[in-house]
Amino acid sequence: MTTQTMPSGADGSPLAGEKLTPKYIRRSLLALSIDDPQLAQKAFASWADAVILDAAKRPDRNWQEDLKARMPAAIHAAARGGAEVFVRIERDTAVAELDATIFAGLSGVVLKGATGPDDVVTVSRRLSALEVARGIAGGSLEIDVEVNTPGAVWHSLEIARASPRFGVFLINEAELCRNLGMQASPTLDFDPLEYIKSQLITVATSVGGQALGMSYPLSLTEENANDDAVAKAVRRARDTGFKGAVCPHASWIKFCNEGFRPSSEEAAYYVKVIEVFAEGIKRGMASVPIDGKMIDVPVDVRAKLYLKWANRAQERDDEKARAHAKPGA
Amino acid sequence: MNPRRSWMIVPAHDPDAVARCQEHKPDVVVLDLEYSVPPKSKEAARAGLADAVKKLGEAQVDAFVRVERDTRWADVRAAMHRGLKGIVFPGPDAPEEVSDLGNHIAAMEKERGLDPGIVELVLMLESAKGFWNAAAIAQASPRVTALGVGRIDLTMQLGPLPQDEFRLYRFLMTRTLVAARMLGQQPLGALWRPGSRGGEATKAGTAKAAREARLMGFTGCVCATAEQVAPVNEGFAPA
Amino acid sequence: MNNRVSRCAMFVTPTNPRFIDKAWTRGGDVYILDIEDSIAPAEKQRCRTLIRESIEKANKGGASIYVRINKPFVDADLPYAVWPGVDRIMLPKTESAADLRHAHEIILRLEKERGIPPNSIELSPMIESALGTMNIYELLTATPRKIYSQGGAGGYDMSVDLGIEMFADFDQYTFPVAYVALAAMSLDIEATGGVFIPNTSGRVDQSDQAAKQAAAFHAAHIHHAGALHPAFIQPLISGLTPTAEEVAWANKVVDAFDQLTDAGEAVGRLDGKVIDKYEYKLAKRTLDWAAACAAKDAYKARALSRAQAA
Repeated sequence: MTTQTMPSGADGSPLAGEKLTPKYIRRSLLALSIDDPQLAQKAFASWADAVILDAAKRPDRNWQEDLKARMPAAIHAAARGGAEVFVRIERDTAVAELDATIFAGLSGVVLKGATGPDDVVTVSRRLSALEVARGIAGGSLEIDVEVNTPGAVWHSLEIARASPRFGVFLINEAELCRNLGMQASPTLDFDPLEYIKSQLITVATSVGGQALGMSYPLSLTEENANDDAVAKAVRRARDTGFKGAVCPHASWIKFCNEGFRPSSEEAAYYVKVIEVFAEGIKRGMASVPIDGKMIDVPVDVRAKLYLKWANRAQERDDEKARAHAKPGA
Repeated sequence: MNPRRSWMIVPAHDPDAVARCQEHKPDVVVLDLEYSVPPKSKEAARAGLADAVKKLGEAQVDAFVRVERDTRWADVRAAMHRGLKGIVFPGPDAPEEVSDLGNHIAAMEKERGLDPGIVELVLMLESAKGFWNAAAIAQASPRVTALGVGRIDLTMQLGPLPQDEFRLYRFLMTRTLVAARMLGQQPLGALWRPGSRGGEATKAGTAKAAREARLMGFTGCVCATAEQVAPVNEGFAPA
Repeated sequence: MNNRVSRCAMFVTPTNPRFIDKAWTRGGDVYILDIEDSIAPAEKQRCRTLIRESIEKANKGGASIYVRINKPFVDADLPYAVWPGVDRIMLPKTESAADLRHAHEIILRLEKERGIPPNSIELSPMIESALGTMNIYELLTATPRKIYSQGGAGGYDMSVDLGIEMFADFDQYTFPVAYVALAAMSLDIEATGGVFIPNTSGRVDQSDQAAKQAAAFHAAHIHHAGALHPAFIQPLISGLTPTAEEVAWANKVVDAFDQLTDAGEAVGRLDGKVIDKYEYKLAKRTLDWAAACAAKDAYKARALSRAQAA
């Protein structure tokens, strides 16, 4: 992804030039095991923006050597359809897992089970050493935090601030519910994790990152729901502030890719906003109405940012299409 | 340990209420020195604690005493007798208050010949300061075994919202739950709603408040009246 | 004057004589002279030069005056904004304690230069980003100046920062609003909180929406609201003022509780309702707020008749 900035508008607002909303185009994530014989086909056919690799630690042999031997090929296989690739590691065995799984081609790690900032610092230090040892650009590996403990929720701000590598909060709702003693089935007429989700979105945004998650109740049922239900749930998740979701079913991916970005209607509206407002500015006006809504500087800023977001999402789709069209792919 | 779903408030100055409290089958009896005790009866309430705590302890009942924030030192002194499970401290604002009270309890244990560390401390958050500092407060003494949401619609003057809940209520419940679970303490609270809360709650309203709280991760709550014990026990029973 | 009563703080643009010249007749508690979002970039400098004269025009009817400045132009804006008669400076998009201290120090210097009692002008950090939200506690404790907490909710800036569309049919800001409110409450700082009321149309000029908002705020014990359209002024002011019935009930509660206390009791009943120290405090608060509203209304009435006679 390029990170070029918008030329700042005539309004002189600093927001327009400095911020990329969202930081990453990462709408759909698919978790796959490196033991899956169909890893390459599944990743390729999914059109997911990112693949999370899970590596089981086999007790019957030297698991570290085993993983070291297999990871490079697994990373390559997962990336064949143009997906970013991450590896998921557990907090308790993080360092040993990093040594066994970090190779070129990864975008970063998904750290699961963290309870505080120290866990992130530990992983970050090890990544720095491994980047040097394995010929990976220094500081390039990202740390995403899979939130499944109350400690990670309470200390979310310290965790997000613990390393410049921090990128994303993912919410493992089933495990978080269990660890909070919550019923992990949607029996309430409100989302019992509503405030926690909003907190993780706010915290991640405050450090320039983002949060991934699904809206209630699909977030808890994780069912292979019908198209309309998934599309609606994605829209609500986007309106909450999520920028993508981990997909328990490959069928969700299409809707996440389409839904976690401004729609083409919205993009067309932003174009209109930008044009009408620019006209207004020329005539010395501070705000201009469109269909009864007042368009002023902040609305214009948003239109520009979100139009760029829509364009970046399109670029990401084109990138994946090129990966799929590659000979031998 | 017995399940501790219903924490029934019993006015400590009312011998009849104390004698009959077990009829309602609460999981925990909370002898009250606070809200339900009029100032003129406070001394009588304190004086009766030695006997009440002893009897409840002998009957294997989990007996706690709720102290008043402003008189908590003397209240704790009056409550510390063999048979006491713990102290309920409503409205802590800062960690030092909890560690200080924990030290006071330790000194009283020694003075009264109780096993060191046996008396638990249960914190009911009732102020914005308390909720802001929730985790630090709950960690301030190793005696803390439960962290709860107190009568916050009243103490914090949280008015009702159009959505049929009190302003900030679910936020403060969530904050308490996360802190309690992080620290391995029992989360106490119920999703009381406007028109059916605390002493004014109906049986159905109480059952709903308890059931919703259980689904949110809470495992018990305070019962302001005897009538609430049954619906609370039912609401917090696993489905 | 009488700053704490701001049932309706109405944004006005100093560059628009139609609004400024008539503002005093509309009865608002507060007028916010805006140099920020309602002023086009090319007009900012002209707007700055109009602030001083706008103060006297807008407060003729007894309203308090706030000035909302620009985050990127704090140094340039403040010399045009700090004058006698200004009650509060609103600092948009505040994100760090350093932002706030910087504004505070400039205001302090200008207060001294212009014969305004030091630290008498209030400062209101507007929380319009995730970063501002997460830094709220250090923001609210950053300066010795009287601080009002503002926002944490909604608005274009917050929605842009979070990357969301506005006007969904559910509350999109549950955590930031609550977190900011809790921080302010924990420091005993008065906060302009909010209550979520769906507004999927995005329109700002409907007075039935104002009445709905006022009723919801009043029920939730929130006293302050802002407005972008004059149609909101009267519904907000009447809706956020305690009614005669509420005042009468509050007086009864206070009397009844005083009697309880004299009798050594703490809990009693009045017309079938529980009376206790909490109800007593709430009643006292109602009476206190009613008195403040009445004082503000009387002040405004006197100012208005003076202005009309002139």
